Amino acid sequence: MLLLTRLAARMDVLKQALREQSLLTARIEQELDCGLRYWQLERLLCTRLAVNGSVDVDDVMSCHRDKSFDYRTLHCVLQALLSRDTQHAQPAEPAELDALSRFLQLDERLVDIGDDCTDYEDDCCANSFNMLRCFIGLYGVDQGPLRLIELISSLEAEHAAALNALPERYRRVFWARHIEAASQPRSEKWVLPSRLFAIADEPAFRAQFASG
Amino acid sequence: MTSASHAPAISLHALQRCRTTLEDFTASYLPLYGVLKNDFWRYFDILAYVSASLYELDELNEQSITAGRGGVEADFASLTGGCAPLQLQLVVCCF
Repeated sequence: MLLLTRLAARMDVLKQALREQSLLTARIEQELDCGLRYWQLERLLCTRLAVNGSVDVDDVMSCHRDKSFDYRTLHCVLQALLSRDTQHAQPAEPAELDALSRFLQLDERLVDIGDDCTDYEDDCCANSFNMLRCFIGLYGVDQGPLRLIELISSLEAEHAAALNALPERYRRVFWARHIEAASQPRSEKWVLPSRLFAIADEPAFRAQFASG
Repeated sequence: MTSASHAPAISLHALQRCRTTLEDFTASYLPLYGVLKNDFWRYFDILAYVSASLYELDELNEQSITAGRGGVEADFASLTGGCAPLQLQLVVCCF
């Protein structure tokens, strides 16, 4: 059976279980479908990057946007759980929740890119999806990291605007969590490998380091 | 039992992988809704089931990338509208 069919079949079991619990919403189904698309693009991009092959910028950006589908799914499931929990105050208005979801998606994308910068060499060895790896594949070892910095700057501007648009109670919770998470070493800084550490020839790099 | 709610779907490994995700998710998202840490246990079963199921699927996908088996070449071909070069299959099999 094709992998795609196996993944879809296993995903159907998850959907059905949520349906049986009266928790499956249209939004959750959309996020789970994002997951299937993410895995498909991840396979395509990693297969190409493994042989220094070319990748498409639209595929890379779609894969990046879809990657945090797991958090978005959990968030939607949490909302569904809370809405049926009579012991809990009901969630806010839909417009407020949409604004919150938009902000969180930007936050998750920035966290993912931060992780990708930290895990760059490991991800090259493991042939895993990684935005820095993809940008170096797209734009080369000189321009790739710079283009990623441009994307980070753009996302940070959107993130700041989306945060400012949120009700004060959400901003307060975000900053409290941000301060807590920032107590981790290096969590406040962007760490990109220098030009010297950007990998121009992945197959040669893996041949030298992957088995070590 | 034939319902999906009773179907075996997750491994211990998937549960272990989802632990840090749930730790971060509960620390970041529950306070947005005024849910206290202890109240997490009211929702633990469903959240853990969903997160671990997704890791189970992720594992299946990663195995296919690292082993070069299953649908990688076929999916690649279906996405590109042609045949995956033999070189791709050989290199992917090396990892």
